[in-house]
Parts: sequence; structure tokens; C-alpha cells
Amino acid sequence: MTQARAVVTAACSTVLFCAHLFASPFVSKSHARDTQPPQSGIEVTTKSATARADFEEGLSKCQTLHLQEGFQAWRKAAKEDPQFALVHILLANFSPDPGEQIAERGKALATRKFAGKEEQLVIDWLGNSSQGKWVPAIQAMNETLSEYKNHKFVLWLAGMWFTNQQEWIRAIPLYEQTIALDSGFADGWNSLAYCYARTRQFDKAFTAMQKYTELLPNEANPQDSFAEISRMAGRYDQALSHYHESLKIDPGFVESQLGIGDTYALMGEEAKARVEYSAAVQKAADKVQKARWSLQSAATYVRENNYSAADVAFESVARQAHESGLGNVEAEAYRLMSLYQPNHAKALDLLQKAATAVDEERHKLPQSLRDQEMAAVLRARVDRAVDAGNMELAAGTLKGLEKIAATSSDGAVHLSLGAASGAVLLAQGKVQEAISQLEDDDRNPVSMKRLAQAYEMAGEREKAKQVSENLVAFNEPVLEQALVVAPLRRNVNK
Amino acid sequence: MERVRHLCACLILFFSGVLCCEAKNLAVVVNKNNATPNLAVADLSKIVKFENRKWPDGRDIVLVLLDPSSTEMQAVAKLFKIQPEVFKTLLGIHKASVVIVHSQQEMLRSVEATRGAIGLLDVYSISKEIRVVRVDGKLPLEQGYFFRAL
Repeated sequence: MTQARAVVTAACSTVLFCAHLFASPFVSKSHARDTQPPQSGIEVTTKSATARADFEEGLSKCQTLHLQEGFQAWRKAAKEDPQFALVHILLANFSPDPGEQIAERGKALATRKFAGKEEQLVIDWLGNSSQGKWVPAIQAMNETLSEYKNHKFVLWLAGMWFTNQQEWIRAIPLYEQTIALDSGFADGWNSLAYCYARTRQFDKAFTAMQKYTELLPNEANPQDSFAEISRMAGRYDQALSHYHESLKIDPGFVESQLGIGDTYALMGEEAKARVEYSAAVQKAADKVQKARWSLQSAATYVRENNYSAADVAFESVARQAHESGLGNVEAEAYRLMSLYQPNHAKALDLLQKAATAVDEERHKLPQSLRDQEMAAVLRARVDRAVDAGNMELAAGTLKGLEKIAATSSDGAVHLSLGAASGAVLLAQGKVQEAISQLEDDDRNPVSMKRLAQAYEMAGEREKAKQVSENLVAFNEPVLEQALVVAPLRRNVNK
Repeated sequence: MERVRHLCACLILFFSGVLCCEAKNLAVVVNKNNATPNLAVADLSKIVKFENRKWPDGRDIVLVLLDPSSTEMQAVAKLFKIQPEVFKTLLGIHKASVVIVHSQQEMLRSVEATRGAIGLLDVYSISKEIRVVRVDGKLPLEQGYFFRAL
């Protein structure tokens, strides 16, 4: 197989084109089509055995959440065979670096012609999706799923695609099919457990999680996932126990250290949370992680209603982020500060500082990150304006947000727009239209609270009750949880 | 740790199609041979109300719909301001121009096989064998798409 592209497209033109590019062994093997689902669960076309091995290693690493090693292996594969289209599109989709995402997408599209049919469909699907071209993306995805329904990788990828879009209900059957094909596929169980948990089917989530931990008894991540799902279910003590188990298996698995901090924060044990966050920050892999986890720590003061201490902590993160050139994190720090300010004018000042940080030239932020954070800042300003009854400011700010969304296909931007529009529409008494917008933002307590109110106003009592129950049971360690959910729980307990 | 969250921390794809109500995800689909690229909401309304029964090329329009008592169709009737009972009556009167289907797959096959067909299909079920028509210039999952008001 050394020089052969083991699987080739059915299109003769591509076969002939490839035949010109590679040595004769390729030509002789190019018509031998392997109809069995390959080990990795997808047909893989590369001229290099080394690149193939690197690809397989990267996939295996990514599927057990050793992501950095996985990306490194994929980068090696791409270097070994620059025409390895599949590896380019996977890097384009999964790399945490926006610059690499764009560059790799370009390479994937340029090398698509060297790939087999299944890989070409995956490129069409993911390539279009990453540019917000949803119709051709979905068409390509469905064609891939229809033609390669027994290929584990394709089902797994589709499950992930739906998960990315919070379409948990649609992701579940795909993950179920994945593990029906291979019950030993650990990542399938992990992903399935999260989807069940997100749809509040906790019994099923814990069963899937049990299977995941049994399959990888010596890995830290299954314990970490078990802990997170326990926390989502409100089982804080169980969560702490699994996080500690994870750290026992791998003391370097710093996400579990962070998880302990998050769990204590939700439990109301803020001093303990800060100790754990501090330990996590010490072990953080890069300055972005350090800054973001420091924001988590700063939020513990908000949970204690100690706003002056929170101000000091958030200011400190903002300053460090500024010095490190992390304009979006600096903006996030100011935006989060604005959320808990009792003084309206001060909140607006902070949001202005956030906007300035995003725009500052020296930060050289990729456009996608600028758009995402600026949209979040404007959304926060709309929320503030609506709460203060300043509809003129709300409407003007919403226009700015619409302008960003008009030139961006980014989901986070559109989510911010929907939430802000929903807030304005609700304040204007346009209840049905508000519901339509707010339903999309179902993991943000501020929008969930407005949605429950909108359902009440529309006379949809059952839906209002359901959203309120979900809100009270919301256990994500975000600042909005502290500001919206914690007071609700205190009321419920009273 | 959840793989998807970790992998996509920087590009969180919470895109505008994150919808709770299935009816919001409806795509207006036609047979592959139908060249209509766009329909104004007013035109679509006329088709649903049987006020327009021909395509511009003179071919008969065949409306492919899910069971009118389904949640999606009730929402659609509401959107076009048709009373549910009136909608059922209209479907009865024009039954030669209507195909009622019971699943997304059935709708897909019906639109694929019928040259004058127009259907309302879950966008996640679309294939290359049918065409998706813009509504007032917008495609499904785009901000401002007509059915998002459902």
C-alpha cells in the first residue's frame, strides 16, 4: 500500500488524474475497491503509508480526548502527504486555532479532487457548514449517511455535527448507531451520555457513562465526564468524588482540577472553589486557559455578593489579558463585570470598555473572535437597556448587532442576535415573536427566564413551568447561573 | 470532559438553526426539474391556499404535506392565517392536487417523483434529489427566514 491511494473515487477522471501523479503501483491498485468498512470507519485516501498511520493515530488520540497529540499527528500526516484532503478538513473543523481552521479548509477544498468519494462528501459537508452554507452542507451529510450507513466514523461525525448545534435529540440515534456497530467505541458512549444528560435523561446518561468508564478504566477523562454529568444532575458530592478519581489516575488532567472548582462554586463553597481554581490556573497549558479560569475564580465573589472583590478580580484578569494581547478575553472580563453591576451607568461604561478592547488594533484578533465577542457585548447592552426601560438604546444597539450578523455566518453571533431580539420583542409585548427568538437560546439563564415569562404571558402555562423547572435545575458554572438561578433557588427553598 | 465542547471551544457553532420547534426547520422543496429559485411569502401563501394552482411553466402544482392534524401543519396553517377547519376543507376540495404523507422520507420520495410537487420538509432531511427554494430570498436556518416565526 505504500504508494497506493488505497481507496479511490469511482470517478474515472479522478482516477486518471491520480494515476498521472503517482507511481505505477498506484495504477495497478487503484481499481481495487475495498467494500468493507475500514478500521477507522471511513475510506481513507493517501499516497503515504506514514501519513495514513499518522492519521489513524491522530483519530485514535482525538477519540480518547488526547486532543493536542491528535492534532499533532494529523499535522504530521498533512505534512507527509499535502494532498491528504481528509486530514485537512478534519484539522479545519477541529483545530482550536481560527487561523489554522481557515488555512486547512482552503487546503481541503484544493485537494478534494485527490480524495475518494466518501471523503469528498465529507469535505462538501464540513466545508460548506463551516461557511454557513447549510443547505449544501446538509445535502452532503445526508448523502454520506445514506451511502455509508455502516461507517462508524461518518455516524460519529454526524453525531458531533448535530451536537455542535445543540441538536441533542438528532445526535442521539447517530451515536446509538455508532455503538451498535462497535460497542467498544468509547467516545460514542461518552458523547451519547452527554446528549442524554442535555435532554435530562439522566438514567440513560449514567448507564452510558458507566460503560464509558468500564471501557477506559485507566484513563482520566471517563471519570471527568462522569463527574460533569453528575454535576449537571445536581449530584455534587458524586461529582467531586469522580473528579478526584480522575486526578488520581492522571494528576496532570487539569480539567478535573477546574471541575472541582466549578462544583464547589455551584455548591456555594466559594473559598474552596478559589483554592481549586488557583491550582488549575497554575497548571494551565496556555495563557488563554489561565485567563479564562481566572474569570471563573473571579465569578466566585459574585456568588458571595461581594461585588467589590469581584471588581478587583475581574479588573486583574482584564489587565493581564490586555497585556497578553487577548482582546476578546479582556472584553469578556469587562462584559461579565457589567452583568452584576447594580449601577446602570457603570454597567454601560464597562460594556464600552469591552467594545474598545475588541476593537483595539494591537490585539489582532481573528475576525470570527471579534464578531463573537462584540455580538456578546452588544447583546449584554441590549439586556441592560431593556431592563432599564431604555428602549431607544436597546433598539439602536440591536441595529449594530444586526449589522454584525448580516456579514457573519457564525452561530454564536446569531445566537446573541436572537437573544437580544427576543428581549426587545418581549419588552414591546410581541410575545409570540419573542418566544420564537428566545427558544433558540436555551442554555442561557437570562434568556430562559425571559422565555418562561413570555410563555406565561402567552398563556402557555405548561411550557412556562417546564422552562422554569429547567432553569432551577440549571447547573452550568457560568456567571448567569449565579445571577439568575441562585436567587430563584433561594425563592424555591423559601 | 465532553469532546465536542473541548474541540470547538473557539468556534462554538451555536448557529441560528438551534431550534426547539420542528416547524421552524421547514424547508420549501420542489422537484429537481423545477427551476423556481425563490418564492415570495405572498406566492407561497397563494399556493397553500390553492389560489395559485400552476407553476409559471403551466405545470399543475401538487402540494405535498404532512397530515394536516400534525403539529407542524397546524403551525403552518396558523402562519398563513388559515383556520384549521378551513385548511382541512380546502385540502378535501383540492384532493387531486394534494398528496398527504406520513413521514419525512415519504415526503422526500414524493417530491422527487412528482414534477409539479412542492413540499414542506424538515431541513435536516433534504437531499440532492430535490431543490430547496428560497422564501423571500432566504434559505432555512438563515436569520429572518419566514418559518422561523413559527
